[in-house]
This record gives sequence, structure tokens and C-alpha cells, in this order.
Amino acid sequence: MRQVLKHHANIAASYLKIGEGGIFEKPTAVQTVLGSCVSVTFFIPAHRIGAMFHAFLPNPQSDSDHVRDRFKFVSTAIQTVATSFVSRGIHRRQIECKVFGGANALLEGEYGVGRKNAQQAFESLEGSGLSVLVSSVGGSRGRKILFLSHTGEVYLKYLDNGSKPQP
Amino acid sequence: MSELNILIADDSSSARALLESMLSPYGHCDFALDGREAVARFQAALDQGRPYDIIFMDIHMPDMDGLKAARKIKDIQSRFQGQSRTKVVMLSQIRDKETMLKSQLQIGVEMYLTKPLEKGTLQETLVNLELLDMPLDIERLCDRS
Repeated sequence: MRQVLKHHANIAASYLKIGEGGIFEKPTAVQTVLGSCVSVTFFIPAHRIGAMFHAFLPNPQSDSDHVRDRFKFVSTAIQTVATSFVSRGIHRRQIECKVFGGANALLEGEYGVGRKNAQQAFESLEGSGLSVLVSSVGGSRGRKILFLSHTGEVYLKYLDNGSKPQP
Repeated sequence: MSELNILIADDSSSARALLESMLSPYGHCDFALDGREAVARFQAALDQGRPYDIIFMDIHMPDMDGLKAARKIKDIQSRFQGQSRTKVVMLSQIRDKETMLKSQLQIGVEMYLTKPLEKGTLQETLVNLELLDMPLDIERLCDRS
């Protein structure tokens, strides 16, 4: 493993619940548990800062939804993070994205919310001019995610089918 | 964990050599130069009782492309109902959403990586596909939250 981790034993820890997200300027180990929800991690190597969210649904139903719950929806969460980075003078080419989650129950097929969340994530990232380096989406198992905001590393553990992930 | 049995499917000799140099610390690498050969090698390894742990599959290849090969491999795996645990990872310069979604949501590959691939990302991938132990530093971080 990258030696840098050994020098950051005291980094901050954060747990994202559904609809939460943020930009992490200080080294932070950000965790969440995903079922059909989607997380996207963003990392800027030159600045060693990162961002991540845990979104529940693909799109808001109204403008007020967007204002109140910007990290609840995949589309608005990506837009929020991208806009924030760009306003700091960071070019979109500098942003490395990774996409996780979007699991479906076996019988949900193409109508499952997990599939729709994953589709929205790729669509919004492409629409925002952001590149996806790594993705692990779909399947029937939930995922536990750990993101290191200062290195961009993401580690995941699959949940057993018997255990109940968050949406 | 024991030494990994790895298949690299890529028609570019430089890409195969680069990937082998990054993967050789973790196990033995075989090679396929196109999708058809990848499927044949996967099937042969399965028949011989020493299936691959992981296949890194390029997309643009002659004869049979990586998406078709991955679909055939997943079809064979579904017939074996869990006896074949080979992980299939797409590794390509193609970054469009349709290809990334199709690979994972329709074909069912475990992960999609884009080139150029860094050594650290490769190591992360092996950990995340449960082929390498999670580093102790990371386990400790997981336990803190």
C-alpha cells in the first residue's frame, strides 16, 4: 500500500448518511454504505483535496428539492461539486472521478432505482466534462466505501446478500 | 493470499508488457491477443480446474472485441452457477458513458478502469475485488468510523 497512509494515522473521519456530501480540504477518511444509492468521489491530485456524496435518487422533482437537498440527487450533487471546484479555479481536466453503487434487487431489472442512479451518474459526469477513472456499479450486492480525500484512494467491501444495506 | 492466476487480453504488445510489469508481483500472467483467444483461454483454464482469478480485458481488439468476449465469459460463468469466480475488469481508453454502463449493467463485469492505469489504482482494484488482503492501515481506518 502507498506509504503515504502510514503518515496519516491521525486523519479525520467522516461518515456520510443518505443525502450527505461535501468537499474535504483536510485529509479525511470518508465512509458510507451503499445499496441502490450512488457515491461519486472526486480528487484533485495537484491540490490533494477531494469530495464525495451519497445520493439517493437520480433527479429532483422540483427546484425547491434541489436547493434543500442538493446531495440527495445524483444530478444536483455532481453539479454542486463540479461548480464548487470550478469556482476555485480548478479545471475539469484536473478532477479524477470514481463511481460506486447502484445495486439492484434481482427482480428489479432495468426499472430498478439503482440502475437509474448509475445511469444518471455517468450522464451527469459526462455532461459536466468530468472523466471517470474507475467505476463499480450494478450487481445485487451492497457496497461499503472508504474514500481517502488526500490521496483519492477508494476501498470497497461488498456486503453479503443477507445483510441489509442502506438504499 | 496465494499467487493470482491472471489473464491479460490486449492486442497491444506494449500495453500487455506494461500491465504484466505491474501485475507480476501478484501472480502469473497469461495473454490473449484478441477477444476470441481470451474466451478460449478462459474456457480452457476452467476445464483444467485452475480458473483465472481475474481477466483484464481491452475493448478494441481484432476478430472479437472485448465487450463480446466479456459477454461470452459471463454467459459461461452463469452456466457454472457460482463455480467460476473469475473477475472480469474492462481496461480501456474508451470513456463514454454508454460503454461503461453497458459493460457493468448489461454484461455484468465487476469493474471498469480507464487507461492509462496507475500502479496504485491497480492495487486498489485487486483489494476491492477481494483478491488481495486489505492493508492494515485501511482496516484500521474502517474501524474508526
